[in-house]
Amino acid sequence: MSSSQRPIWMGKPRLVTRIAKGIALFIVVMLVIFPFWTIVATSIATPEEVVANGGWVVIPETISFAAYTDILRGGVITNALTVSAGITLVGTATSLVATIFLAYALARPNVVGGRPILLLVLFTFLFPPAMIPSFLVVKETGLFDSYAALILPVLINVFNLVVMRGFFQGVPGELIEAARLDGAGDFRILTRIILPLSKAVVAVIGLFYAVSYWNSFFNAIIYLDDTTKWPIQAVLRQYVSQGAALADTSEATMVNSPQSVKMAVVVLATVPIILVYPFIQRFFTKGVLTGAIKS
Amino acid sequence: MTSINRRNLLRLGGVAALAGTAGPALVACGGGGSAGDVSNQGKDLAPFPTFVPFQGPEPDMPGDETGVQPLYLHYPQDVQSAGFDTPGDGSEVTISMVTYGTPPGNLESNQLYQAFNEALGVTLKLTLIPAATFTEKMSTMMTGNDFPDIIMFGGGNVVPREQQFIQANCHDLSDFISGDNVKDYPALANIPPYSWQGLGRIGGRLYAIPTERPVFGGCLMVNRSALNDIGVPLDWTKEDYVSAMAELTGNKKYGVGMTGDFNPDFWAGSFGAPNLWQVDGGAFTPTYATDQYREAIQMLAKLFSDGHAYPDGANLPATDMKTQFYNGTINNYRDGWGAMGTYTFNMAKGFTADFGNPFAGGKPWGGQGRYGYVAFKKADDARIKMLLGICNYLASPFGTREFELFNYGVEDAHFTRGDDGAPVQTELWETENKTNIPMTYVASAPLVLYYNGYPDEAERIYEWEKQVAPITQPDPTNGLRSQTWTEKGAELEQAIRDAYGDVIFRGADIAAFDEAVEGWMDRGGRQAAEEFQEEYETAKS
Repeated sequence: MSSSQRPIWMGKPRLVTRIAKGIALFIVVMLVIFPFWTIVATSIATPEEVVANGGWVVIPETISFAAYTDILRGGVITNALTVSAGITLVGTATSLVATIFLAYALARPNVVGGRPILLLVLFTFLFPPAMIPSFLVVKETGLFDSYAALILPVLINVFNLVVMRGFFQGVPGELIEAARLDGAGDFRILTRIILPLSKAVVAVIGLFYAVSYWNSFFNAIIYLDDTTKWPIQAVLRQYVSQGAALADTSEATMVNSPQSVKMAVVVLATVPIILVYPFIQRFFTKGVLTGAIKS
Repeated sequence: MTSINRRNLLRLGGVAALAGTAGPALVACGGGGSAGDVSNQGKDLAPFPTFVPFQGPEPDMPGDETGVQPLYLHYPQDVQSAGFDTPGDGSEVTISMVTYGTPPGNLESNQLYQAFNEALGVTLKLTLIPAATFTEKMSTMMTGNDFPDIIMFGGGNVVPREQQFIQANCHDLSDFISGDNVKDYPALANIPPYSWQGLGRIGGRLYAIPTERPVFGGCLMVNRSALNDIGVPLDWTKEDYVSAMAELTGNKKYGVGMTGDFNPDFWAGSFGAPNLWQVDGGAFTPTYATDQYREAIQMLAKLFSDGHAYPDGANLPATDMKTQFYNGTINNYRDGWGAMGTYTFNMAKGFTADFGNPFAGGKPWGGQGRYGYVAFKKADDARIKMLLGICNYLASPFGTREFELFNYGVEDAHFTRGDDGAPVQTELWETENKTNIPMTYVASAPLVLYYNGYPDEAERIYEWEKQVAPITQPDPTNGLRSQTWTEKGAELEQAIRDAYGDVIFRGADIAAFDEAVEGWMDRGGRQAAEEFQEEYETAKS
């Protein structure tokens, strides 16, 4: 096909088009970066400058790390970061294992009880348990005030399970048949055949779980009385929301966190999970789309 | 292959729908007790505790029975012990309470917590509940049937079926604190009557102890320097106010700041609208239906449409609007009485922060006279007396050693004394303080007017209180029970907030607000009015 016969979208873009695309991309990137930059800039500005600018600073005149020094004093933030890291690591690992096993079982044909179990799982997808029934289960099973209360009630996310099951169903049946003829059992088929072919979906679902555990705060507040066990997001919420919509009328509560301190906590709570994305990004499209579109 | 067909999915949906209807029923049971009759009608009413003022340090200017607070221009020089015995018996005492602070960290190494334990003679086990999730956490705790010895309620939150829960599960304190019985606990007897009356009775009995707050409701925080510059007098009319807002607007500065969730109570009161309810011959009608309230809303809408109000206010959190006040972008905004303090004076750089007087002829709205309250889990009499003793100790008045401990910490550890004898907080107070171990929300002394380092401002606020307290109108439903209001009040009030927000910020006609008020009446307002009316007559008798 000669170049004159090519459809327009296959031709080499003109300079004007390329510039327009560049501008459009720049705007989109700025829309993402600007708010985050403002958070970082505000966190390193002095409280006086923040107030003078109406609460937000884009280019700080004086750079001050006092906000970071303040919040790292006393060990509350570092402890909460450690807790969050632990919950995220252990939670993601156990959730992945549980999801992989269940997805594999539900992906195989003719599993005894497969259909009722699948319906049961989907039931919780459509109608997740309310707060109080969940609380009563946590309380009665002795999980209250333990780290396990942040992991076990949310061990398997049904959306993630459905995606992974779909991915597993896409693995050619001949491969599994061949492995079975060679004497492999289900565990060996899963670990030697299915999982090596499913790295993308495992990586993506792992990221979903990690982000979910990292961001979780509500369960911590409901299930944990011991505030030393609170993850970073629960503590972050206190820093950011304290002083907001105060119902009290005593002077004690009027000592709001300076905006720079709030933003410093946001930075500390966001950066670790952002750092994970680049390592997982290449699996993203493949993992989610492949899993989602299989029957 | 396991698959889902349409029939199975529908079947699943049917089962789920059943479960969905069961869910709310379970939540409604939350409260762990029977649905008792919390109204006071036809009950023998336990008398409210006798008021016996505590003789502490002599104030510079006295308080009075209208609600004016005692004024201390300087910190008391001769701080004495309140003379209370250590109340505890060495046991563990569990307490749940609201917190606005960050977690206190490891309490074993927390000097403030250890000092509290030593002073009270118990080992405190605290469940600190973030204010933003207070209702949810309390609901689960109450449903779990495993609640602490001392349970704090309030702080602007209403837990579903709160009074029913207390009646069923908490100790009736009437025999310990009603009438002269309260004299066994001198600091509790020092809590003024408006606080107890605002708290009210449940089924005719006294179940709780209030944390006192002054009688004032929503206030107008103003930049007094800017008003002085354009010659606006302290005593002003609504016309003065409107023209001042116009004059103050310009050069990226605005007259008034209103946020999306703001409360127009100051302006409504200044226009003479009744405080939430108008009681006429015993009949209750909502303030929203009065001309004065509507006029106040229309005036605010005009200020906004004329550009004399902060333009992005509807999307701004309350804290950000405070920032706009501190940096001089707006001249005034509505806040609680407690927003005035040393923090505000410190933040307001280059100008004097002040309260705006109500407009001429206005009737400022009062608050509830309390921040929150505590009730005790049922226990034997000896333990209840100990818990009352703890609250008594915590409520030690301003100017006593005990007050210093719970408000400033341990001397030489959390504070040292300045040249004038006033506490000066140390660096340790940044991590160990009363915001992250907020025992003052369990019980506290009546607040006094004392702004460390700002005697002139304190004197001005005292003058403001002298002027405003006598004309402050209390909410007539303070201390009254209405089942409908308990269940639907929050939802009804949200509908009203949405309606006046539409008028003020989004240009809706006042007729839309009137329509919302009609809907408010139909959806429960009318029923609540009838219930309040019955309770009102009982309370009067």
